[in-house]
Amino acid sequence: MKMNTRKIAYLGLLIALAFVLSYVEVLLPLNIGIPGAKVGLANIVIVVALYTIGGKNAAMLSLVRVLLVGLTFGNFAMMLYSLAGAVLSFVMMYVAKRTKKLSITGVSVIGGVFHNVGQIIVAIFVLETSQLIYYLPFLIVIGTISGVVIGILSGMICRRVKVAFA
Amino acid sequence: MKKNDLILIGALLIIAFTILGITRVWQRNNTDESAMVIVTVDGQEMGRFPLNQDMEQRFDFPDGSYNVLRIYDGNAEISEASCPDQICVKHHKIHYTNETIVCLPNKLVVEITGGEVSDVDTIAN
Repeated sequence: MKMNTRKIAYLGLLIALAFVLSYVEVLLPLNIGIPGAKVGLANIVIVVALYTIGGKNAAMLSLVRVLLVGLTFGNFAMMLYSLAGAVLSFVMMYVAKRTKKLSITGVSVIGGVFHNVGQIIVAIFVLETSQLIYYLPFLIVIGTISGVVIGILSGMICRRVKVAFA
Repeated sequence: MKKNDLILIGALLIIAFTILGITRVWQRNNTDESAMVIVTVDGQEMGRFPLNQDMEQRFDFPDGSYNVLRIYDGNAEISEASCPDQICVKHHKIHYTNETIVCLPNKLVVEITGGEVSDVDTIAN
């Protein structure tokens, strides 16, 4: 795909936005005593990117975000959890979008759920504690709720962004 | 939102609540008087404590971080921790078999095991 100036600027803008939203989430953590549970504000940006500039660019954006946030606010272990969540969530969203059976909200719900599931799977291996699987139902519910909210927001943003690109 | 989205959301919620229901019933039926609290750090066991004796123990780590485990009235909880997110401190008290409290930053796991396995240890003590 050819990268024109406009696209590069747009991608840079989205990376900055994802970075800031991750920082907001570090400042205001969803603290309900469940490891791995996150609102996933930055997922708004990933979903918008997936629907406006395509899978390849959105994947790159997701990886750059994890690296930036991990290096800035977290430690190596946190980056590993985050990476597992981001990769699994992105792959599942990409597949879900390709099937064309779901709208942007459904795709975002898939992303939210699998982000949490990916993190808990890595935590099970890192901590060698299979009992963490008991958090799975809570993580699915939280991922679904945050996915719906983020999906609706992303849909609104996409409509406006597409107007600007036309 | 399409109809498929609603089906997806409904299915996810049903799956979640079914898993939750089954595990809760199983946990309740597999917990007895001799349950033990096991603390592991990075996969290594740091201590075992009977759930029916009140106690408090501090776990310190080489990098200066710590977690304080408290057991009282048959419940286990992390009462204090150095980690930034404090998820382990906010976690509800645990007392059923296989319930866990996790502190990801310190790689500390507190878990409950049913009495059957640890009976031998209790007698030996």
